[in-house]
Amino acid sequence: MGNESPVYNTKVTTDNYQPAQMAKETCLGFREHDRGNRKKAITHFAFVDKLQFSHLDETEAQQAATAYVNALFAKDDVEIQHLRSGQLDRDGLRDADWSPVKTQFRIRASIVGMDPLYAEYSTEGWRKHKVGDDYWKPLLKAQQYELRAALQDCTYPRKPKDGQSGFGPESMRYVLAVELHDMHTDAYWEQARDVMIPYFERILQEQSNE
Amino acid sequence: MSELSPSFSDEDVQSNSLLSLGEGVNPSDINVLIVDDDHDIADLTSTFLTREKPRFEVRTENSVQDGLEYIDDIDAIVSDYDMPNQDGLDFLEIVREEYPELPFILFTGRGSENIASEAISKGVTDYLQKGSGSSKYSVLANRINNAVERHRAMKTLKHSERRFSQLVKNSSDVISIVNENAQFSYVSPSAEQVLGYDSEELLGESIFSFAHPDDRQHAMERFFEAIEDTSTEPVVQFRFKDPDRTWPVLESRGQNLLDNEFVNGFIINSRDITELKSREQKLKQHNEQLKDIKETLSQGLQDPISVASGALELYQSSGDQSHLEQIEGSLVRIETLVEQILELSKQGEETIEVEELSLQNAAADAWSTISTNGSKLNCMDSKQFKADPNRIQQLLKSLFSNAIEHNTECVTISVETTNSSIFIEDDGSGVTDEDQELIFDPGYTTKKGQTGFGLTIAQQVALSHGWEITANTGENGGLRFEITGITFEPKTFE
Repeated sequence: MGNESPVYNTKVTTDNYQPAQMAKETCLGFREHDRGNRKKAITHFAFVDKLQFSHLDETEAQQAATAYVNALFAKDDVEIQHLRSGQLDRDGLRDADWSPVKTQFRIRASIVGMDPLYAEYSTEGWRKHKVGDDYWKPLLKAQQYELRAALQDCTYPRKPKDGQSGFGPESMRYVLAVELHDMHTDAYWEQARDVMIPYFERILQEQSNE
Repeated sequence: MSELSPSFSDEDVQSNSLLSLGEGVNPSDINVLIVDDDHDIADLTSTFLTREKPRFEVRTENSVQDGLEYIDDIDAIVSDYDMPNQDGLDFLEIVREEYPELPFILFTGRGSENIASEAISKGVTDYLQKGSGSSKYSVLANRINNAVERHRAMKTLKHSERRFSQLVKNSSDVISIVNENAQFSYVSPSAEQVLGYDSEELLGESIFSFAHPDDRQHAMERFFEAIEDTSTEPVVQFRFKDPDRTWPVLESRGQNLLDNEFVNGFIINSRDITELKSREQKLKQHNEQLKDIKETLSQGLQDPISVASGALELYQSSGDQSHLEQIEGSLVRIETLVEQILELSKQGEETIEVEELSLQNAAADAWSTISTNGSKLNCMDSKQFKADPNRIQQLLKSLFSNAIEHNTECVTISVETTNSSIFIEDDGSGVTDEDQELIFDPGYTTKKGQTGFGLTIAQQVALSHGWEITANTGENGGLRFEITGITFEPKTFE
């Protein structure tokens, strides 16, 4: 990839144009964070937050996105403090003070109206993602809270039959996108975007039903 | 009626409240009233009770009617059930009307489940059956003692709660408790006076949804850092969205007591510091102004003083009268400078006294005080507005003088208005963009011999009224001043 923001071969139809754009902007937000472009990352995440959290005004959505990006950069700071000869000191990272990250997640949770546990699980997920533990479960839990806020439905995923465990198909999609992002190739970025399109479709669909 | 117990006199019988006990009354004493139509049983009960608990001061009465005369002054009642005219349950009912929580023990020899059930429904404290043997009195004494202790503790607690409630209610601070997501779970009644919201309205709302968007991020960071680190006690200043949208400035002090079993929340103590901030801001402006004055005074006086002293030397050596004119000119300049600096220093100190003015009259008044040298004033618009007449004259005088003195030819000065601003524009040669940037700086002038304070004074007058003044190039290339933020009165005079 060059220095420019990646351009995807969008598989977009008139039906899913907006969710596809939201998925793309989410990927771009992460990409800009990887490049250290704080302002651009906020712009991309704010685009998504404005649409997915329809109960927020524009300023609030912007601040929610800012908190998320601040959390990403706070995570970077923790990592930098535990770099030893270019390698992450995973044991040190495990015991590190992650409260600056959690503080930003708490801010996001408060603005969006999410359960404060979102901050706990997000921080735990990111920490485990770096130190080599199972990060899926905490991230799934966190994403479930975020989805509940976006859908304004505290009962999500509301499964219809006996199979009640799990955090909802949309939560799984989002976390799969995180896994795909770890591969750091254009092809996987495209997959990350594609896998998230139904995630945002679900949110927008719910909003249009209100 | 039986006699009083030896140590139980009317004087000793004080309030049954621990908190309102009079002087000389031992708060550990317990005043017990026994009502039983059987004299012997009443006396026997009294004797046993005082033997069991020396702190008991016992009075006995043999009818409900007689007992009622003393209920204001006792800590506990022990009543028989079966009595003529009014029984123990009637007595209980009357007592409960006035004293819903006074310990009342039904001590009866003719007990039944029905009586017990009715007594409970009427609010009896305890129910005990008489029996043979002294052990019953020990039990009764303990029950009385425990009931009174509980009652006193409850009264103390209620009193304490009432006192706290009054303190909180009458405080000029707003005391609130929020959860870990910053949502109000308690807001003191003072919120109505300080914040403009009824306490109930705020419950469940996030405190940060009331913070000014520009202050929100900082306030949230301090708060959530303290959620993470309980040793942090943040102090945050932020503008609060009140119902009138006047955005008072609050200073909020927080303490994380989420783990405290009694509070179970984050306590925030907020006070309105709007006036304090305003005074701070004025003081800051004033100090900056004094600094500017000091600097420009030393620079501004240097030239005329050195010209005057040089001219004096020349006059003394040559006797040439023309040097005296130079000295006179320098003294006039010094005088003007001092006058203007005094005027400038007044802007930040004196309170402005506004009254309704006509723009046309104010402009004409200012025009009449200056040397116009053939220049013309064109002011057709005469909207009404509120301002300090002396200061507005000073402002207009400074702007008019500037236009006349900085143009070699005569100029026409136009005064016009929009809905919320005044334009003062001349048709002269104008100034460069660079000069427009510096034009209000103290001591800045493009013309030799001028003090450079006239427009600084004009700016200070505008600021003291809450207006803003800017300089730019007019349509005809002259200098155009715009004063914004003015509220015109609806009526327009032509």
